[in-house]
Amino acid sequence: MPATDYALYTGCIIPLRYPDIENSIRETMPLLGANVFDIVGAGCCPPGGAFWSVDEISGLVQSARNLSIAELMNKDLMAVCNGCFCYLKNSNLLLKDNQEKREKVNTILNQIGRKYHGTISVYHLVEILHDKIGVEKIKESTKIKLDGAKAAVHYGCHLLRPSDHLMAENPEKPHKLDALVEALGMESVYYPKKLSCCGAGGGMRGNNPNATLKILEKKLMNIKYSEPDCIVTCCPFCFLQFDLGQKGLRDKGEDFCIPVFYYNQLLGLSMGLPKKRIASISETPRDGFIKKFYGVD
Amino acid sequence: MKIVLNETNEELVNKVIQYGGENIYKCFQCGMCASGCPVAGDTDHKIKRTMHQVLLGLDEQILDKKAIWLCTTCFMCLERCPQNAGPTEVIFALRRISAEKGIIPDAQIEVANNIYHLGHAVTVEKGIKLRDKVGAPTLNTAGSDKKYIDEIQKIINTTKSFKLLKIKKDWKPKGDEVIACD
Repeated sequence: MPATDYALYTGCIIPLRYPDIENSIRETMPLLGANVFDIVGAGCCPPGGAFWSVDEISGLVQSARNLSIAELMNKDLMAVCNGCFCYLKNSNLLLKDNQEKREKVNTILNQIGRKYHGTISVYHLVEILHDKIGVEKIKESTKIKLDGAKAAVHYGCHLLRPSDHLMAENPEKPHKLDALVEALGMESVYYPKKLSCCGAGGGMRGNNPNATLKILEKKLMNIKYSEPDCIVTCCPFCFLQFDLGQKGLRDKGEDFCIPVFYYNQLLGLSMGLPKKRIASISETPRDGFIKKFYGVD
Repeated sequence: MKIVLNETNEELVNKVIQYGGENIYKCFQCGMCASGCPVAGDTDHKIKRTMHQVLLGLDEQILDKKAIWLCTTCFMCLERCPQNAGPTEVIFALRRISAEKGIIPDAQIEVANNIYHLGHAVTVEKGIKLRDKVGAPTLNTAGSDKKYIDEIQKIINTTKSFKLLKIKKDWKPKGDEVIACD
C-alpha cells in the first residue's frame, strides 16, 4: 500500500492528559503507511456539551477554523477522539452542504484571516486502520501476539452515532474495533450492553459526579461479566472515564481494577515500542497486564 | 368540551422547532428513547417525559429542573427513534432555550472559559509537564501560543456563546480535572 498522509487532529484530552496515547499514534501509524502531520494551532473541536448546546454557529465556527487549517495542508483529517470526530465530521458535512451556514461562518473566520473551503474529509483513526490499512497489514506488522488475552471492546458513542452523519460503522452491530483487536491475537469478548455510553459525555462528568460513576459502574458490571483481561477503546474521553472512574469507584470501596488501553497503545506494544513512551500514564494499573502478555516490566 | 392544556404550549414547541428540534411533532410516546438512555435510571433526566412535556408546553418543569443538562449526548435515542423525532436534537434545542434564559450549569461555563482562555477544554500547564515526562513533541496546538488563542477569542466574541456561556475576561481555571470534552 502506498503511504498516505493525514492531518493529525489531536484534540484536548490526548495531548494534555494522555500524551503517551499521542506518542502511540505518532509512532505506530507511519509503520503502517499512514504518515501524520500536525495541525499547528488547532483548538478544541469544540464539544457538543458546551458551545453546540447553546448556539449552533458558535460550535460550527470553531470546528471550521480547525478544518480550515487542515485544508491548508491539503490532507484529510485524522481524528483520534470520538467527540472530535463526531463534531468535526458533522460540521464538515453541514458546511459543505449548506451555503447559508458556510457564508455565515466564513464571514466570522474572515476576521482572523481564515476561510473554510470544504476541500477535505474527516476520518476516525479506526476507519483508517480498518478500512484503509486493513487487518492483514496490522497482523504482519506486529511481532508479539496476544494469544489468550481477552479484551472488552468499548466503541464509545460518537464513533457510532448519529450514524446517518458519521457513516463510520454499523451503529447496532459495529465490528471494526473488534477486528482490529483480534488482529493483535486477542479475543474480543461479548458483554451485555456493549454499545451503551461510558457516562462521561455531554457535561455529565462535571455536572453530576455521582451519576457519572453510577452509569460507569453499570457498564463495568456488564464488562466484568465476561472476565476480560483489559478494556480497549478508541476514544480518550471514554479512556479517561474508565481509567479515573475506576479509581473513583475504588476510592468508594468498590472492586474495579480492569486495565484500560487506547487501541494504538496495544498496537505499539505489539510492535515492540517502549512502554514508557506509549503506555505509561494511568490511574488504573496496567503493569500487570503488560508484564503478563508482553513480558515487559 | 375543549381541553386547554397550557397557554404556553405552542410557544415552547415552536421555539424547540426553531432551535433544531424540528421533528418533535413526530413523537408518539413509544418510549424507545428512554429504553436505551444510559442516564434515565440514575438521574432526573427522563427523555420520553421531556418530549411529552415539550408538546404540552410545560416549559417551567423542563427548564427549571436542569435535568436536560444531564444528557450525555450519546445519541442512542436519536439513533433508535422509530419516528425520527430526534430526541437528542430536542435536548440541544431545550439547552439553547435554557441558556437564553440564563439557566446553564457550572460545568458548561467552566469548559467554555477553558476553551476561550486556553484554547482547549482542559488546562494546558499540567499537559505540558506530562508531555515532558513521556517524551512527547513540543506542544503546537492552540494552547501553545497566544496568537492562536487570540484567534479563538475573536471568533467566539462575535457569536452568541460569549454571553450565553457566561465567559469572563478575567478568569482563572478552577483546577486540572477534566470535567467535559465531548
